[in-house]
Amino acid sequence: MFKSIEEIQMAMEEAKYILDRDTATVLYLSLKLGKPILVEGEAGVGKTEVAKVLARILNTRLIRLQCYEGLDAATALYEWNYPKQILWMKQAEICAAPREEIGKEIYGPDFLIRRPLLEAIQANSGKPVVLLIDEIDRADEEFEAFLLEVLSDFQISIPEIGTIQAETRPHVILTSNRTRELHDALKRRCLYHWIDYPSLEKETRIVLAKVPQAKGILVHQVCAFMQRVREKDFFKKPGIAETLDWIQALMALGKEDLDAEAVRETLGCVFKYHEDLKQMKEAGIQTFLGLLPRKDDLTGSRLPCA
Amino acid sequence: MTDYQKGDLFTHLLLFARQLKEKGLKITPARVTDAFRSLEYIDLSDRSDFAETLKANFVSSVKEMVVFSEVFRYFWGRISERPPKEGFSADEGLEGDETLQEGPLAAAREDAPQPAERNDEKSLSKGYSPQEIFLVKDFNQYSLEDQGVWEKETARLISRWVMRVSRRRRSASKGREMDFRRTIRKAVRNGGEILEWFRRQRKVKPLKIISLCDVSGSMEASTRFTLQFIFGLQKAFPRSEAFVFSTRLTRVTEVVKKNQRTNALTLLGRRVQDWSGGTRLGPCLKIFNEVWGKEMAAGSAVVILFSDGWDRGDPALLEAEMKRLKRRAHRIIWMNPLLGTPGYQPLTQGMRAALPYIDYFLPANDLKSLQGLGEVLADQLV
Repeated sequence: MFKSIEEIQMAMEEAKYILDRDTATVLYLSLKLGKPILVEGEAGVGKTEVAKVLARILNTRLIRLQCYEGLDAATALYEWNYPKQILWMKQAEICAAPREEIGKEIYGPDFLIRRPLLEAIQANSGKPVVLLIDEIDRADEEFEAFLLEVLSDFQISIPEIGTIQAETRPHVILTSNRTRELHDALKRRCLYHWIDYPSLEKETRIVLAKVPQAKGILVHQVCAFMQRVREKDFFKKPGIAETLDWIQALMALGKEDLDAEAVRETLGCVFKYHEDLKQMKEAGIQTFLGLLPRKDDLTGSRLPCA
Repeated sequence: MTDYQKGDLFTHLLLFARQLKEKGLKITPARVTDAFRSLEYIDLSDRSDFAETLKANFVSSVKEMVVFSEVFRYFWGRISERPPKEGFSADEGLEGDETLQEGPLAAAREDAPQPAERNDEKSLSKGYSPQEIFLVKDFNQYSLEDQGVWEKETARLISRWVMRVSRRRRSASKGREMDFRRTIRKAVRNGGEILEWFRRQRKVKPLKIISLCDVSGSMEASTRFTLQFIFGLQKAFPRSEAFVFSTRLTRVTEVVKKNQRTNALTLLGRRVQDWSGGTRLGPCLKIFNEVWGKEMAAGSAVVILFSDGWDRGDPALLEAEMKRLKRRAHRIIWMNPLLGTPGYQPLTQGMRAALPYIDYFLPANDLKSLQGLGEVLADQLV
C-alpha cells in the first residue's frame, strides 16, 4: 500500500501514466477511505487508463464492466448456464435420478456464470482487485440503482446459493462521459474527479513516456498543435488518445517535421468527424502551424482545479 | 462568523459544507464525515491538496466544480470582495490563490467573509445581457377561461406521442427473443421438462422532451400558449426539461415541476428577469449546448423550440449552434406562432439560419396547430 500521495504519483509515472497531483490525491484518498471514485472528463483523456494502471501498480487483477444501454443484472452480476442446465436435466432424466438431487445440482456453483460484479466480489486473491465500471452513463437508471446496492455492501445474494460477501473490498473506479446526469445517490457514494485535457507540458511528458522512440521536436510540435486545436471550437476535440495515434502515424510515415503536408495526410488521426475536418481545412492548417506562441496558461486552467 | 473557536477544523468544515449546500451542492452528513476522514490522510498545510480533497468529497459534476471553487476560494481564502458571478464560465480557477502564504485554517479563522449573497436567479448567462429589459411580469393577471380546454387538449395530445423503443427487455408472449431465465425456471418445476417457451421483447421507454421557449417581447402574444404547453409536457413526461429564453437562457424545469400552476407562474415571473426583452437565440442556444446539451439531448431527446425566429444576434452563430443541437437531438421541432398567419414566410435572419436543421416546422398559434404537432410526431417517432 502507498504511504503518501507522492508515492502513488511516482508509482503511476513509473507505469507510464503521467498524472497531476490532484489525480494522485484522489486515488490516494480512495484507497485510504475505501470509497469508489467517479472519474469524468472529455473522451480520450485517459479515464479508463487510470483504473488499468492502478491495477498494475497494485499488482492486482483488473475486472472491467463495460456499461451499455440495456445492461441488466444478468449480464453484470451472474447468470445460470441454462443450456448446461437443460442438458443436465435431460441426462438425469435418462439415468432416472431423484428430482431433489437434480434441483440441487443444477443450481450449484458449477452452473453459475460469473459476470464482472460477482467476479470482483468473489475474487479471493488475498488482496483487493480493481473494479472498473466503464461509462456508467450508458447504462439505464435502473441499473444504477442496482449498482448502488452492490457498491454499498459489496455483497450479493443469489437465492439458490446464498449471500456472497466480499472478503476484501475491491477498489472501484467508475467512469462517465456525461451523456446523462447520474443519480445523486450514486454520486454521493463516490469521490469525484474531473480529468481535464492535459497542459502542453503534461501532454509532452505523456507522449514521451508512451512513445519513447519519438523525436523530441516532433513531439513538441504535435503537442503544441493539439493545444491550439483544443482552444478552437470543434465538435469533437481530440484527446490524448488522438495525440498518441497521430504521432505514431507520423512516425510510420517517416515524418520528422510537422508541416502542412504532413498534417493534411494524417488529419484523420486528429478529427473523426467530417465537419471538423472541413472546419480545419477552412480555417487553414497553416494558422495552426504558424509558429507557436502558445498560451499554456489558457489551456492549463480551462477548468479550475483547486 | 468570527466567534467560533480557533483551530476547530471540524466546525469550519461543517460551515463550509453548509455554504456549499446553500449553493445547491448535494451535501450529506456521510459526505462531511468522509471529507473529515480524508483530511487525516493529507498534509493540511498544502493548500492545493486540501482543496482537491474537499472537492473530491463534495463535488459530483463539472458544474458543481465551478461553484465549489468559488466558495472554496471565498471561505478558505482571504478575499473579501464578492467573487465574480460569471454563471458557468469556467475560466476562474484557484490557481491565482496559490500565492497565499497562510495555511487554509489561518485564513478562515481570521476573517472568513460573509458568504456571497444568495443568488436565486442562477441564470446561465449573466454576461449576455447588455440591454435587457428587467421587467417582472405578473402571470396571475392571465384570464383562466381557456385553461380547462387547454389542459385537456394538451394532455390528450401529448399522451398520443409515441414511446421510444429502447433496448431493455420485458417478458412478452409474442416477443421475438427467448427468455431462457424464465423458461428454465418454469421447467425445473416439471423436472426439467420444458413445456412452455417464454419470450421477451423490447421495452418502450418514455420520450424525453426538452422545450426551449422564447419569452421575448415579440413572442408576448403567444406566451400563454407556450407556458400551458410546458406544463402539459411536464405532466405527461416527468423527465422532460423546460427552458425559457430571451436575452438569456433560464432553466425552469424545477419551477414547472412543482405543478401548482399559480405558484409556479408567479415563481416563473420572478425567476425570468428579462421577460419580454429582445431575443438572442444564438447565444442562448450556445449556452444550452455547452452546459446542458450533452447531458440532456444525448441522441434520445426531442427538442421543441418555440420562437418566432426574430433574432438580434449573429445568424452565423445561430446556424452553428443549431447544427450542434441537431447532432445531439433525436428530433428538432420548431413551433412558430407566425407560421399560422396566412402568407407568412420564414424570412427573418434567424429563421433562415435555423431552417435547414429543423425536422418539423410547425405553426403554434392555436389549439389546432398543437393537434397537428401531435399527429406529426405520432407518425414519425420510432
